[in-house]
Amino acid sequence: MTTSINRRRFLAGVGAGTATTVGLGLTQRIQAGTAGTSPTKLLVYIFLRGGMDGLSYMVPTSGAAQAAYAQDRDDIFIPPADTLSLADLPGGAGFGLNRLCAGLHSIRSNTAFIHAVGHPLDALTRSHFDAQEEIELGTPGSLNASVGGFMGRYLQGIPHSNDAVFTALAADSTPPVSMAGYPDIATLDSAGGFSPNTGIYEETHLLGLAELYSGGGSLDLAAQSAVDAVQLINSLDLDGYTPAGGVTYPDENFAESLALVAQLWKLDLGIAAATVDLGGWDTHNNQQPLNANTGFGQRISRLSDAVAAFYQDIAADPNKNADDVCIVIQSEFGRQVSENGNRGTDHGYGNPMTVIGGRIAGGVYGTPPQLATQDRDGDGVVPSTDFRQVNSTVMDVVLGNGPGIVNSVFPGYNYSPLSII
Amino acid sequence: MRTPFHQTGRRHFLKAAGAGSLAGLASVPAQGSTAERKPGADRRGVASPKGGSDGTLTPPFAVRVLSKMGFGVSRGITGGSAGNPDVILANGFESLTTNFAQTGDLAYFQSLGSTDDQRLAAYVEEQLAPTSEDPELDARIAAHASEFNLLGQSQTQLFSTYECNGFSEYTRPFNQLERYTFTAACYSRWQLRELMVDFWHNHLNVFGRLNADLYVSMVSWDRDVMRANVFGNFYEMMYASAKHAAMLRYLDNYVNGRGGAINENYCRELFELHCLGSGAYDGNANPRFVESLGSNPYTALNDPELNDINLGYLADPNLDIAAVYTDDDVLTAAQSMTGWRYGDENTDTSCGTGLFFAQEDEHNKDSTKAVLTLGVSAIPSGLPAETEGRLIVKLAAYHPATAQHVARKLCQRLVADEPPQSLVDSAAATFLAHRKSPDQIARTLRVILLSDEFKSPSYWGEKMRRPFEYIVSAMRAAGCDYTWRTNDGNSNSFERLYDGAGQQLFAWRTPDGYPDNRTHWEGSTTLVQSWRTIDWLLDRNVSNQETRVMRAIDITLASLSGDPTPRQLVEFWCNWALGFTPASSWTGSGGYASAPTRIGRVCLQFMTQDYPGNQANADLWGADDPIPRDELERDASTRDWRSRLTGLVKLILWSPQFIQR
Repeated sequence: MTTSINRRRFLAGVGAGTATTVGLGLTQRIQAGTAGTSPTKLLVYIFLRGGMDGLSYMVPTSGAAQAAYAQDRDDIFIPPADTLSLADLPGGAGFGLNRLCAGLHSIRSNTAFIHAVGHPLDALTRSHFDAQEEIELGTPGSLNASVGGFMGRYLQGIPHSNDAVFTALAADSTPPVSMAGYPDIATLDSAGGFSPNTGIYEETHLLGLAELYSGGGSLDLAAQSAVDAVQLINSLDLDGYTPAGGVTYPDENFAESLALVAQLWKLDLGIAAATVDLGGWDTHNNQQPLNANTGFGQRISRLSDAVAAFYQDIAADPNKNADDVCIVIQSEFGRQVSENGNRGTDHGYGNPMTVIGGRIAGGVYGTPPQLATQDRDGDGVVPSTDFRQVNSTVMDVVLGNGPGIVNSVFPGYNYSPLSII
Repeated sequence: MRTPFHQTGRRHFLKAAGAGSLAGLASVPAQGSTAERKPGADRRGVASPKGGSDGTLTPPFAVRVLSKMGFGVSRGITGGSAGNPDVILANGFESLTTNFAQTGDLAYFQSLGSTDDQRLAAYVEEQLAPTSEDPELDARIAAHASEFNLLGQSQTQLFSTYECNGFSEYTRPFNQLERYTFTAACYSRWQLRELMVDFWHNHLNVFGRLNADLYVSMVSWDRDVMRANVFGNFYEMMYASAKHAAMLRYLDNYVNGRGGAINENYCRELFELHCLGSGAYDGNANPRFVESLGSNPYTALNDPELNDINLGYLADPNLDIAAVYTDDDVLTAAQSMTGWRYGDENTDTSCGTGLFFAQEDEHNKDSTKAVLTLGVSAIPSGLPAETEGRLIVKLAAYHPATAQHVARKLCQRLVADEPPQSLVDSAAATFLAHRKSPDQIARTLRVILLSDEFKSPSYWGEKMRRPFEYIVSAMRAAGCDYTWRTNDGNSNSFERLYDGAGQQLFAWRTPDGYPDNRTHWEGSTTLVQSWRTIDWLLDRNVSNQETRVMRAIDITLASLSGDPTPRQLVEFWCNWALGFTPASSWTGSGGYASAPTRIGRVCLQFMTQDYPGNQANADLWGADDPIPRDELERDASTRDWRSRLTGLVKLILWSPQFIQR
């Protein structure tokens, strides 16, 4: 049974007698280290927008798959010597990570790499926008947005404590489709200078805004979240955040977003889910998979370094348990096996998904991509695992919500969990 | 006894309209009453379609029209002394005798006829046929001519001069365009044109900051593709876009070549986003077995090329045309569009021309091709690259699914996020019937703008203003008097704040354009950064009458004589910025706690109570006590009347009444 979120009551503080304590209540409690009493499990959903070339991430390094891959790639071919072997993981023989993924490779014992994930075969699409939308709505083959996002349904389906301040965080300026229909989202992409004004009326104006938007419509709720986010962010020492275990986050915005997620989660504000996007994967042209400074190589390098820093920061924190965190990395589709005429790749289908967490048994799972020419569909990898199966396993098993959550998130979807813990 | 602000924290004023959708509420309190929030009425799962209004406060017809056909109401405060447009209202402003409420575009709209329908019809016709007369915008541009001097240059002039000359050079044309776009949206009298230029930029989105080629091409892209066709013919716009360096580069058609070098990026979006729409996409279906339209939609066009037997006679009434497109159609269309190039430094001397050309040896002319023809290879082999590519654009732009797709997006822009299908159908029918008309888009817009749905108050508040609309509307509403331009610190400061709201101009990376639905924009960052931008506008240079960015103080002093009271200030500014006063007035006649509207209550409380950090003087000023007039210009006393006045205007511009349309 879920209980109601009552952020307003939390912000007001018990028995708050004056206006002053309302606005400052949260700030004071955070500074006093008593802000949150809501330890939560955290689902971090990282969406790689643009269609990541999975074959340049998890590279075939031997056997027939490697031969087929090598045959159709030229400029962007990655030789086995430029990979980091996964052979010490169950199922990992014959595959290696792009050599720019040293970070992810270092946490592979807590990482599940799942081959050839995608839409079900009767709902394949090569439209970025359809594919992304259907994944985010959780409804392959349907673009009916009225059902809201799958992360939104997840958030509605899990228990909440009464004193949660925020339950969802989107590290972007605007909320993603995956959280549509769930109003209690803080969107934060630039925490610096985050306030409607900074003059003598800063506090007064925040209270005025809260009153102006005190109705029950979606915009009211968004504005209430915004006012709370201002108070929260202004109470944090963002620059002074010290990750655990001597971890250093890379100095770039994707990593900074993950650092903010870690910092906020450690405050026990009730955050149960966060979404972070990393775009720029639509590599039709000059893919450059091994160049850490541009193209695919730069993206995969940032992804790997930032995610590894995040996971190590959580895992090393004495007050936190890595078992309570699960990171899911997904792109809307993979790309074609054959290199196109512009040292790039066009839209394909199946693609690996990556799941990281303290409970994960490191391994390479699923059916390896069938890369022989005759086994491809329109030159794309035919998906062998439905993306909903991965996300259901995470929500049900990895985060321990039980199978009932799957009925809430993917109604009508029958699944059996993957054995990844 | 005063009611502290923080009562909001525990009590919620629930408007009757919105409360009905709150699951679990046992009773629905009337508007204006207070109620403890019930435990069941939590924030999860609340799916009220819109929110944040004072319920029944629907503005009058003229305000609704001006808010939906452009960037909101401007009261026409400018047009004073000529000379320096940045200080139009400076010296002697207070001595102007004009009754400002009687000028401006609200008054102008009222003058256009004796009934709402007459006025709307006249206004729509005028806006659909812009003349060269645009005095205020022209005066502002002329006053800073050197900072807009590249906007009149041709694509080749700009490309050949700037494209290969380093960041500070190749961004110069782009920067002028970006600042011009703000200035024009704020000051042009052709508000519908400016709104629709923004629409088409998003419909045919390119990421203007991609690289040097895009930066230098955006001026021509804006002028020669968007503005040239804004109310014109859709196919003409499509064809201009397909051949433009900005689109060729952004969607990779410039490297689409023969042999193994096919690049489908452009053709996929041509079908999916620009023309037929994803509703007409049938994925990996076999193109021979998809649904047929029944009768060939190209026959009635009498298009010489589509009727040409040497070009495959695609208008043949006996040729089946598919109702949907498949991956196979995308890939084959990409074959047809091979060899499309533009001149850059690799193909020309110096930086290149930036102009389209066909490279025949990169064009696949060897095969016949089937595009949207259910497997019939109607397009003959041997066609030149430009001709064959043009056929593809025609097949897409003239397809009936395109009429539905474009009509829906227009209705979504002008009426509601989920527009009524009947209106979409009407607009699509006109769009389809006038595929060859030079004013096809104007005709389609006319259907929408004169529709019952557009006029109906029941569609008021359906749309949330996107940041560009929101900020420009605020500039117009509160008397912006500033020319956004390139070599200017204020413009730079403004843009840094504005960009944080999430709608930096020409900067959406993916080809779908900025989303046009409120769920995308209802995020903390968009709201907070938009509010912050408005805060900056109101307080920038506020101590110097000559250089104020916004004229809120001057407008107040010019419009209210004597020593105004807090109530007068609230009533005046709500009316000025929101365009009307409800029958009950905004504040009523008592203290703030009894104000009949939420915004009136908040504003009057702000003007009469001290801020929470200074509790000693909680009751600051009586609602009907005169404020010394000269204190409104400076924070002379501890009451900070100037900051309080601009703070009042901020609250109004931040309000849900203003952010929705």
